[in-house]
Amino acid sequence: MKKRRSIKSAAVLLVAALVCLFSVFALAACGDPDGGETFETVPVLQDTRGTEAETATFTTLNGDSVTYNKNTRRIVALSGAGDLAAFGIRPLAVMADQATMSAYPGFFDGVDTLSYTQPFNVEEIATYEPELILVYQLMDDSQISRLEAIAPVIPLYRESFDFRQRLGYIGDIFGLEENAETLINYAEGIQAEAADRVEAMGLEGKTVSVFYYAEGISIPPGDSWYFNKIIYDYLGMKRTEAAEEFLANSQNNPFTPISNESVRNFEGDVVIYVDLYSINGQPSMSEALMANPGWQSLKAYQEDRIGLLDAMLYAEKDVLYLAAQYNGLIEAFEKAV
Amino acid sequence: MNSIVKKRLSPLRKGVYVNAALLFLLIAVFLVGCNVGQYRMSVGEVISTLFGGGTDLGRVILFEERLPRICLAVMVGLGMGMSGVVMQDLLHNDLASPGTLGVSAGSGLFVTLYVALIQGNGSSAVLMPILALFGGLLSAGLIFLFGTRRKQRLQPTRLIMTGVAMSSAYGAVSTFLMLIIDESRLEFLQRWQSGELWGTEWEYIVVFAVWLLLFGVMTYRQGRVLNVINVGYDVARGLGVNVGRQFLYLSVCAVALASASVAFGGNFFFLGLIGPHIARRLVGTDARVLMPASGIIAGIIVMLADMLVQGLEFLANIPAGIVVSVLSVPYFLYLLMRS
Amino acid sequence: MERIDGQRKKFGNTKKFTVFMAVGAAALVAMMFLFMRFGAENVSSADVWNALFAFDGDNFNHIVVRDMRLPRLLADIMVGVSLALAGAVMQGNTKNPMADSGIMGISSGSIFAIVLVMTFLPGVSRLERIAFSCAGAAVATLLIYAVALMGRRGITAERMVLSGMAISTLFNSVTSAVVLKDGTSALMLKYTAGSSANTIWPDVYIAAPFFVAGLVVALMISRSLTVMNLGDDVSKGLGANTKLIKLLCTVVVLVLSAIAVIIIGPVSYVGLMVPHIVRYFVGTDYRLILPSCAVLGAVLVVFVDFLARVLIAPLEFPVGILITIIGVPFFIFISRRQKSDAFSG
Repeated sequence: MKKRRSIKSAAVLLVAALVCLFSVFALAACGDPDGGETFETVPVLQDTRGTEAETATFTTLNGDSVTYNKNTRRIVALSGAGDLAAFGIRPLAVMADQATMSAYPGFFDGVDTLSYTQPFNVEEIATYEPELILVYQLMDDSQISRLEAIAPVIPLYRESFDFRQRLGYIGDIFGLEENAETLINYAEGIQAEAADRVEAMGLEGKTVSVFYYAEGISIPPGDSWYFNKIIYDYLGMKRTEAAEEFLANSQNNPFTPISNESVRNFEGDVVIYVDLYSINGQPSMSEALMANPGWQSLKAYQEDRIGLLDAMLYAEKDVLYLAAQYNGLIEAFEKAV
Repeated sequence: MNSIVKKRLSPLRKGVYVNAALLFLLIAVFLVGCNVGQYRMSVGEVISTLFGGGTDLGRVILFEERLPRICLAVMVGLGMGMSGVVMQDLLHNDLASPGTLGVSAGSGLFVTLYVALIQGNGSSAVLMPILALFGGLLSAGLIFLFGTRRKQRLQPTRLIMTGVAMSSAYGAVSTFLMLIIDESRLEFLQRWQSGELWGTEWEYIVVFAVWLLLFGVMTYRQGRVLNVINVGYDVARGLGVNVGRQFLYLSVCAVALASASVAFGGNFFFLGLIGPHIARRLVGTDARVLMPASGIIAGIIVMLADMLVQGLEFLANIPAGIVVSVLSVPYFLYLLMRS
Repeated sequence: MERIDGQRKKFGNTKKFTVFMAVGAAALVAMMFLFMRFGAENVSSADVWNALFAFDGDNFNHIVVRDMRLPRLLADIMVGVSLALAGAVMQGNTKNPMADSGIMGISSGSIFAIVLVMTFLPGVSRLERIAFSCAGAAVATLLIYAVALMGRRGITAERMVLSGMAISTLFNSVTSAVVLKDGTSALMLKYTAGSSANTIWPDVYIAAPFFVAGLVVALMISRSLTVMNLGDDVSKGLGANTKLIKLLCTVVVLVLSAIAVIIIGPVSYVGLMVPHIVRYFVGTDYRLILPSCAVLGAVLVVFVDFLARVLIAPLEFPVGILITIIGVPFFIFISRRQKSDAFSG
């Protein structure tokens, strides 16, 4: 009897141990298969405006005074699609990349994309009979006046990297200050978290070389590639001196090729490759690049620690894409360390 | 004697009739063009809007979008078509045109330089055509300088070959400039070089129209002289024409017409060549009827190309000049093969 | 007239040919050495020697010489020889002093194909891209020859140049349409600038057999080209199979231009300049012209690419543009020197 009981308790113990072991495994698996934690995605906000027309006057970033219906749903946006979607606003039509939009189901329900995008077709916009047209910051006055003939036009802060300025402004336009505050906090939270994680990885103050390849290895210039802004401004990493010199010499022109012989002089502590042709959002190094002797001369290549980024993901800086952008960067850093 | 006069007169009269028919066709295409666009308006709405009725939005679409663009298309065609006739007659060569002689490339280079180096926000309506004219004249002068030899007869073929070489040189310089400018200007230049009707604001169109009228009349007045020169320089000299002076005068007019078209309408490469060719088959060689016919035909071609781009969403973002090229190059090759 | 001239001068031309080849070969060797020695990285003469004959994989200078400069040098030589020969054969075949694979629009066909591939099938392999590029070049070449040879009574020089211009305009237009619709102007502009900077050994291996074949066939038909240039009647009288030769010429031009386009991209004027300079020295016999063209073409492209590498090092200057900038004044100079009847075809 005693023996049987002991066998029984042993079996229970064994089962318990197995369950424990299994749940530990399961917990580990739940955390993240890659080891790192992903950034929290943008909060889903509602467009809480009233439905009745409410005439308002707004002073735009150009100093113009625009009178419009603050509660209108008839919006065409030539800019800022991702920011507006995060606010919960669903314009009639936007100018944005369709592939990017389809990666955010729910955020662009019922939103059309414009076909004529260079720079725009007044007639196409007019077919939506908009009550408000949102445009980019640097649009010519002459272009704006063409659009003003159809509906009130408000330019958005597209050049601004300051979320408080950019999102706060959109909040002011629509009276959605609460949403703006939520999004600003979210964006700043992500930036802070990313900075912490970079610090935890011991990357703060390290030099990072970012390369891309278009018939020649080159360094992507300027802030219009948002990863540059994130890496070198927000996360406090540095370019190599050679890279700074290169950017000055090439006057920030895109795709100026570096001699293959000198590529390795540009190598920093961390090497990131930005893929301009990534397929289905999966960046990879092209066959031509891998065969390039200049690329092969990089230590990071030899030690297989080149982080990969999908260029398309960083063409815009809307708050909607922020989590994906930082996820991509952190993943690239993890590979590159 | 009488019969000779009759024979001489009849092609001219026929030419006048054909021109009248072409003008009707132009107006017809123009009216169809008023009905083509992404914004749906019925024919009735368009007509009532044209005569002052219609909705506010309809008026904006028609008067601020469609009409200026169509007018620009017609004027670009007129300028290039007439300029092509003058160049072909002056050089006795049906392959001469603003495009093949490198004049439009020269204008193009100056526009490129302007956009790349000078232009800020808000460009001037007058500066660009003037620069284009300057570039065109300079380029014509250079081509003349390199393409002729002292104490030798003028060789049109040599001029054309020099023109081809010079345009490829301008092309290289343009490409180089395009490699060193930022992307938004690059887009503009690339669209412009492919032939986009971009100067669609009434102020541009007024400047262009005045320019076109001025040089058009100046050219047209010399139609007889052009006819005589086309027969032969010696014949013209024998008839008391000051060939050197008229040649210079007509060249400047032709370059002025072409350059303004290039500046406002972009680079429509084969337009100045195709227009005169089709026109010659319809009205014969008399410059007095050939010039308007060529201009009208070129205008119709540009309008049709623009209508395709505006009407078909499939062609969105494609400059009208590309449509013109794709349509006209096979015809041009066909001409080359059978001549 | 020319034939009598040619025979009377034959001895003198052969002598000039020998001198030309000797000087050309010496210049080529000198350029090759300069090319291997100088560049973005500082490599000593001893390193160059050792890299070639006592290679050490751990020495980066050796890698620079053997895996970066040498394949690029060979590529430049192949491109120079190919373009110059293609130009000379084209000029002989079509009796057109203005023929040049770049001006005639062959490269525009290949760029069109590459841009299509990069836009719609970004994942294709290197080999597939080369194949597409060749196909594009082939279509353009066939078009050009169709226009040139199917015309009613042959075609004059200017008409051929204009047909080339028209064909390249057509291809460039469609290319711009694709690029502008896709919004990738700056990226695609790279393909139109032309550079051999990223040549690697496999490229050389792929191109070499075709290059050698094209070179051999070109040299083989050189006699027939000379005969053909005496006029169709004379060549028929001499029993030459004009059609076969024309076909061979077309294939040679296609293969050689395609090689150049694959390696370096669109480069105009080499095929135009080199045969003109060579003719000035060695006369009208294609048996002398073709080898001289090969040497001079190689020297020219190697020299220009050398400049492209060192002018703004460690940045690269686009070779195609550099050659055009050198080529155009030269072209105008040459066209002014031409006898007037050379233009009438």
